[in-house]
Amino acid sequence: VTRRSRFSAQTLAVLGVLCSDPAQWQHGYALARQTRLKSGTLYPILIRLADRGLVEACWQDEPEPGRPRRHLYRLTADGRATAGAALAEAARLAPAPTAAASPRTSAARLRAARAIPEAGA
Amino acid sequence: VTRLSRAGGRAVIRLLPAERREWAEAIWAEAGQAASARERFGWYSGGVRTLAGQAAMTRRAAQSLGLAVTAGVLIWSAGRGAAPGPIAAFVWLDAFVALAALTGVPWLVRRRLGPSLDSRLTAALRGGVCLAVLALILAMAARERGGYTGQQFALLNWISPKMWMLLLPWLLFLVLLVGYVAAVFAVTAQRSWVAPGTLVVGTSIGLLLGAVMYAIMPLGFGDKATAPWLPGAQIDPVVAFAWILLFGGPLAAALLAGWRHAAPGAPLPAGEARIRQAVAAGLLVALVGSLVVCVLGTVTVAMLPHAGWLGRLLYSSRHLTGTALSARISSQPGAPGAYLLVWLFFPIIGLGVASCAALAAWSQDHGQSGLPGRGSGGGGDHPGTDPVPGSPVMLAALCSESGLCSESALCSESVL
Repeated sequence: VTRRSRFSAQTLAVLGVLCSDPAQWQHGYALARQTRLKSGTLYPILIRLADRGLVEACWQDEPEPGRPRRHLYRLTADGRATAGAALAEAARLAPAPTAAASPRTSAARLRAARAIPEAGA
Repeated sequence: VTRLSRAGGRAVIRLLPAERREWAEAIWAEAGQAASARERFGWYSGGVRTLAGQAAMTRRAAQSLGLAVTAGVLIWSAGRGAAPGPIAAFVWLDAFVALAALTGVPWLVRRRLGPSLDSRLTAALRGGVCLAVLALILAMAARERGGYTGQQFALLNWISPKMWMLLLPWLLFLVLLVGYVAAVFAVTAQRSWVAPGTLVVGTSIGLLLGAVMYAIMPLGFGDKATAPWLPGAQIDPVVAFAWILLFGGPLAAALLAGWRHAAPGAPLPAGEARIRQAVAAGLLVALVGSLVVCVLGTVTVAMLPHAGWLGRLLYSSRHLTGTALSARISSQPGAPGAYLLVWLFFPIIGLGVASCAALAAWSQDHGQSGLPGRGSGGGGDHPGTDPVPGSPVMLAALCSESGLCSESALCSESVL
């Protein structure tokens, strides 16, 4: 049995995006874009985090004309502390690159890592 | 399609518990943000899956109901027409142990290794082993009531030494039954070190092994294949193939699982991680193969006296009644103990072959760092090397962006 974070990699990705601007309310579509998760993966994670009190949700006050009200999310105080600890641990456990890693794989990873700040900007 | 999806979604929302409707509306509200119809359809599909999963919040309730039904069936089967005596005691013991295995083992594994992996193969493996146990116990009870074991027991009593000669293998079978359930639940748990790809390899080859073995016993009658789909063929090539699979299957699975296991993610030397996956794959081949042949074989023999169509289908050229076929299969030299031998020795063979192969192939790689482990593949059935959402690389980037980790820059650089 290997040592693992108590959050899945996908959950950590969601926490990471929410942590990038903890005070800002974010909607589900933006979260999906930034984490590259599909709705079928993202929302179960949000539901679990909300059930645990790590994420709070509210409805948009003033919906755009012709559009339904949107659901917004951000971390609670407890969620910020938990996410910070979990992300720091995940980053600490991130392994060094292997000698066998192919150039194509490394390049893909590099692109993926760079894509996060761009998508979040 | 979009309109249909929207209408379907609204219908599903109404079926949800009140506390989950808000989430359903949230998902549907976001669908309008999708840039294209295809993306919107994907969003709706994901939403439906989410809601279906939430509806399966009642999964535990369904599991409890399934367990209650299983318990009821086992108790009904054990109590049905059983006269007091050794047979009744054996049948009740079977039912009790099966029920204990299906309730206690999952609970213990969940406590030690966490819940099940979220994949179809995992669900199929766990569901399959539970159904296999249920079918095996019911079939054994039917066989004992119907026949040959009963005749043996009729001459015995509790103080007979021969009784203990029968009782000890029986107890061994029950212990192994619990072990099989524990092994399948353990390798499919979230904190198990067995990678999803290893599960795929081991299960696939194991199913093939089980199917070939089943063609030999009971279908092959030991010397000739008489089933309509093997008309007049000599059984020898099948037997040879079965022997090759018995040893070659775990060998191939071990090498394949170890070779393809190259995803980074766990603090283990590459060689050790490959050896672990290889051994797990070999063991899984043997476990799945043994389960398939024992369950199908026992169920077939138990059904023969009651289902004439089955005898005609499998042994069309024999012109024997189902009862006679069942008795003949059971009276083959070594037949009563054959399934016990399979039950006992298949895992030993699988473990032995896979261990030798893995040690021979990767014992030199102990010093290398490759660091495989579950979770690096994004939770799918195939471990991949492409970046996935939430991979350590992406997390390092997120960590760096959010400023949560003071060493985030180092993290990102070291990963990249």
